[in-house]
Amino acid sequence: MPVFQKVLIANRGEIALRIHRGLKAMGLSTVVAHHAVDAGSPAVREAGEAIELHGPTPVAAYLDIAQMVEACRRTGAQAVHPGYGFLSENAAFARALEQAGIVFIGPHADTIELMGDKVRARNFVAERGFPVAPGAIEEDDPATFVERARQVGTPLLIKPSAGGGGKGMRIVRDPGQLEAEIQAARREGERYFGDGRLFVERYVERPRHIEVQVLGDENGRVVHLWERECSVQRRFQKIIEETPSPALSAQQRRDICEAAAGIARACHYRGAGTVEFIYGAGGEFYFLEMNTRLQVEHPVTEMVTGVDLVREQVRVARGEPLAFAQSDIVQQGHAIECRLYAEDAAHDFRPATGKILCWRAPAGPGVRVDAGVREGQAVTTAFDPMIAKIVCHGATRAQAIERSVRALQDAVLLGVTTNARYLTRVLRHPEFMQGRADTGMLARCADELRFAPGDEDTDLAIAAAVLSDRELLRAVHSVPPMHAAMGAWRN
Amino acid sequence: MRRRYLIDGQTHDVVVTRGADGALQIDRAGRRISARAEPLPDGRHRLTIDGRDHAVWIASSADSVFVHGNATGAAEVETVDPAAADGHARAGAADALSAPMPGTVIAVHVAVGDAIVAGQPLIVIESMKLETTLIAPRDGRVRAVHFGVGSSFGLKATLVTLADA
Repeated sequence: MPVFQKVLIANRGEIALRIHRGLKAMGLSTVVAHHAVDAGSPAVREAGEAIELHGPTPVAAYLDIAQMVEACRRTGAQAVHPGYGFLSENAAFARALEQAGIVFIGPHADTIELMGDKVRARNFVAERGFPVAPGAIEEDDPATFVERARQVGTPLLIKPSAGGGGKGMRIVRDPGQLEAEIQAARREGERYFGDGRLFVERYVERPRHIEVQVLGDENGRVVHLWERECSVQRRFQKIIEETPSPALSAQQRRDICEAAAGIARACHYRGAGTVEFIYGAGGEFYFLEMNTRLQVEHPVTEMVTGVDLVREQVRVARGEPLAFAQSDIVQQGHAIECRLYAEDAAHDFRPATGKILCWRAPAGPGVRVDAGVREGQAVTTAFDPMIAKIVCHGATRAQAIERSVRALQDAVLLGVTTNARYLTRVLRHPEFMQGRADTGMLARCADELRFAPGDEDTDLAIAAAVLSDRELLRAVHSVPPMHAAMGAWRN
Repeated sequence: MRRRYLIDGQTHDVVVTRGADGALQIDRAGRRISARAEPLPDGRHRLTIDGRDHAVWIASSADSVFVHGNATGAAEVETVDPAAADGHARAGAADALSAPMPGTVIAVHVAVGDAIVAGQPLIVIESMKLETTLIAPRDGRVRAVHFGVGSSFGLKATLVTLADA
């Protein structure tokens, strides 16, 4: 049974902090590996130990396998928690750690590799009788690909085999356009991924994204921790996630969760993972992919089940059996996560940069905030623009929505434009409130979600600007009493 | 006293004068309000606008004021110097290549002193997971490259400066 006392956290931001706190609560010591730009981050400050990584760019430092292994050796860390993103789904990293005698807190390298290859994963799942969308894979027989794609029928979706994140995907509705679209998709695949191989799948109209949290131990036992719905997306990026899904009946919920657990069992899944499905308006669902790591949106699952997923990951990595059976895992109430992003929703969600001048996390009953930022920190485009996750639990979905709206209004972040107001508008939109959101909602409802400030909003903003303008105040009248206080804010 | 503000891309010209009881009178486009502020113990400020109180968070950077009101959310008010803005538009536009959005430099294709022709790729940036190549708007010479590969920059940052050939 692998024993470890000290764990290196190979990540940054909110997830590094969340992992650090989880490990500390278990009595483990932590080392936060970080690039110099994150030296002042809350995770580095809170951790007992930190080690600096170097790289041509900050991101490159977090992706440097050799440096991570060396950091473990130098600090005496006996295990690594990779978080999400960066090296979390890198089979070579898992293998390098194994060779160095360090425990990777995650699945086997072979599992990472299998699920990292979209085409292999799809075949694996289909061969074991789990639902995949009708489709055709080019490399099965390139000569007949167009013909086989035609037989799948429209509407269909062309995807690059090497792709991800929605890049290079194309929807074909007119069979006459199929060949032209395949050629265009191939060029995009070559440009983005250096790989022009494609596959097609039947396109599900008004698709919803529903995923299932699974947990497996070294002995092959697998449980699911129910589903999360992540249909509210902008440019293939999730911004609001919730559980339970408002789309599913009790029977559908059981079916989709059991399918996910079955897929995890089939690949001898170890640790925490997520099986993603596309769910159609007719109740049909198809395997999309499996993420072999902790998910950004894992807190909603934790809030309704009471299970600490990081703790379970560590227990499994130590070779301990799962501490609960499927029937022990019950969903209580409803949880919603809103991702607070540094971005300008009014301008096609372009990333926003700046210095965080003021940050007050919301608090209250049922409110959990996972954040890894501090006042004075620069927000740049060097990393993902997520600032915080605001997660709210309620007895009912309506209460969870109401708490989320209030928490977003109470979240004070000054100095960088965020999507906070946009998120509240999505939460209050009838499609979301009625549980009808699909992945096309944000694009479809763009006009209704746009905010236009009223006269009173503008009055307030201008009054604040005028009243903090020393020069202007000095000119207009003799030094007023509020000067000193306002001046303190000026950085 | 006059000020020009920019909020969400909208320009607001205001005239500020001293009102009754030490409050300020703010006029803009035919709208007049009276405003005063007072610090609160929790770090917020009470803004009183036409007799109505709003507890808000306020923070200032070099050229912007950020305000967060509970009902309205956050707003950024940029102070614009009308004279400087006009002058910049006349002089700098063709010489300074600025960032269309915040991002990271992926590649730099030119060096200081290089002669360039209109349409020539100068610098490749990545933003929102998309690569964009910025090309020379005219013939000339590279005066300065302001960011190296891997550096990240903000919206409107000057990336490359050109000079005449």
